[in-house]
Amino acid sequence: MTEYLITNALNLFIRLVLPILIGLGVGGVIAIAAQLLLQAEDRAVSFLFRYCGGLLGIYLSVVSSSSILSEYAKRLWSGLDLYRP
Amino acid sequence: MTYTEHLRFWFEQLGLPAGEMAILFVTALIFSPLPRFIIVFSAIRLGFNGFPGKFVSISLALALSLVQLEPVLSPILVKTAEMNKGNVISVEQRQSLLKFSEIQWVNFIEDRTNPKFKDSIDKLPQTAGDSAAKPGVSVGRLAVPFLLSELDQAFRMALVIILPLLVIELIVGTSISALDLKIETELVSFPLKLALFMSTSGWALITDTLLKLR
Repeated sequence: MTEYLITNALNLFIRLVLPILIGLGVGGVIAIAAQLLLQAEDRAVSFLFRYCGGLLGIYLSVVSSSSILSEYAKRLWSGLDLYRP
Repeated sequence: MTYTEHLRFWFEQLGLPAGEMAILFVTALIFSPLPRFIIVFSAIRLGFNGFPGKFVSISLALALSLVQLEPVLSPILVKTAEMNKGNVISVEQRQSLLKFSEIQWVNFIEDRTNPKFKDSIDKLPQTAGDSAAKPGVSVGRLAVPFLLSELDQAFRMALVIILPLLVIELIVGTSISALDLKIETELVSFPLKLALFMSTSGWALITDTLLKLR
C-alpha cells in the first residue's frame, strides 16, 4: 500500500509539473530561435522567453491541475481503506 | 450529572491525593486514541510548516479522543451516577465499579489492538494479576500492543495526509527553481496548501475519517 501511495504521488507530481516544464522548454526553444534570428547574445532575451513560457504553462494548466489535485486529496483524506493495514 | 461532577465523585471515592490522581488521569489518556490523534495532527502541522499551533492541535485531539471514548465512558458514567444516588458507597461497590471500568477499558483496548502486535505478548507467560478483568487479559498486558498498533495506524494516516501537501511542495519547488526565482518555496506553497485544504474541506474529511476508523 505504501509503495502504491508513493508511486501515485510521484506520478501525479510528474503529471502536474509537466506543463510547466514543457512551457519552459518551448520558451527556451523560442529564445534560441530569436537569438539566432536577431543575432543577439543577450541573456535577458533567453530569460524573458523562458519565463513567459513557464508562466504560460502554469496559466494554461492551473484549472485542470487544481481539480486533479483536489480530487486526489479528497480520495486520500476520505479513503478509509487507505488507512487500514 | 456533568463531567466535572463525575470526576469529583471519582476523586472523592478513590480517595487518592491530587498528584496520584493526575498520574492516573494521564495514564488513562495514554491508553486512549489521544496519541494517535496527536501524531496525525502533528503531521498536518508539519505539512503546513507548524500551522496551526500545538495548543490548537492538542485541544482538537483531546476533544476527538473524548468523542471516540464515549462508548467506554458512557456506561461507566451511568453506573457511577446510579451509585452516587446514595452519596456514600461501600468498599465492595467501589471495587465493583473499578472492575466494571477496567473491563470496559480492556474491551475498548482489545478491540483496537492489531492482532499482529498482540501475538508477541500472548506468547509471554501469564502472571497472577492478569486475570483481573478478563481471564488472560489485563490493561498492563495489552498496553504495549495497543500503543504499537495506535502508532502504526497513526504513521499510516500521517503518510496519507501529508502526500497531497508534499506534491504541492514539490511542484512549487520545481517551478521556482526552473524559473530561477529567488523566493522562498514556503511563501508560495503555503497559500496553495491552504487553498487545497479549504477547497476539499480538509478538516471535515480528516476528522470524519479519524472518527470512523477504529
